[in-house]
Amino acid sequence: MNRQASLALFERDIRSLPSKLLEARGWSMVASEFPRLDVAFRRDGRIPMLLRLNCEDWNSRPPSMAVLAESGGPLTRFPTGGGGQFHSSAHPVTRVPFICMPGSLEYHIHPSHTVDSWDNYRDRPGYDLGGLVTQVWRAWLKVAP
Amino acid sequence: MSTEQTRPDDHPSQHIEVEVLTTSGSWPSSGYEDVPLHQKVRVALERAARVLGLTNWSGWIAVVAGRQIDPERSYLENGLSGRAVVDFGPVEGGGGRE
Repeated sequence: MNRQASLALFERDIRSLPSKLLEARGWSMVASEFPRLDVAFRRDGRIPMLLRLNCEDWNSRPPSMAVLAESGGPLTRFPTGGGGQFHSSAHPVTRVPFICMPGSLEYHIHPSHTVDSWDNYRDRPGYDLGGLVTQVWRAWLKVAP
Repeated sequence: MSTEQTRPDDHPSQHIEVEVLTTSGSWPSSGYEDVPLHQKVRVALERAARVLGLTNWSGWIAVVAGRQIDPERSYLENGLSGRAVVDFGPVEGGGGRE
C-alpha cells in the first residue's frame, strides 16, 4: 500500500476514537504522528504502560507493537500472566519480548503463526487501530498489576 | 463509564439514557438515546453497529462502569437505570503459553 493511502487509513482510525472513550478507559494518546501511535494505559492499582505501534504500511501489514514504560523507556518488568498475550521471552526474529496476538506484526511473522495470515483479520471489525489497542488493553488489564 | 440515577425514586422512569462508545465512534453522535428499561441491550448495540458501519461484531463485549453486561438481557435485568454508557469492543485475541 502506498504511503498516502496508509496515512489516510491511519488518520481515519485515530479520528474515529471518541475522546470520551479514551477518558473512560484511562487511555492517553501520547503520539499519533504517522506511522507512530503511542497510547498510554493507566488504571488505579496498576503500573502504567505505553503501547507503541509502528504503523508503517498500514493496513497491508499489521502494526509492530512494543510495550514500554509510560516514559517511553524500557519496562523494568515485562507483563506476565493473564491470557498469555505478553511474551517475555525473545521473539525468534526481533529478539525482544513481544505481544503474541493476531494483529501484531510480531505474531504474524513468528514461525509458529506464519500460516495465520494478517489477511484473515485486516478487514474485520476489531482489527482497526482502535480495535487492536483495545485488545492489548484488555489483555493488560488481566496481567499481574 | 458510569451509571447515574437521574430520576426520583418515588416516580421511577421506565426508560434509560444510553450511549454506546466504540473505537469507531459513538452512538448517538451526541447526547444519549432514550430507550425502554425492558429492552434488550442488544437492540442499542445493533443500532450503534449499523450507524458506525460495524458489520460483524460477534465476540465483542459490552461493559458498563467496569462491569461486563449481557446484551441478551434488558437494562433492568442487567441492574442498570438512569443512564448507561456502554463501552463496546472486541475481546483480546491470541495468547497462549510462552
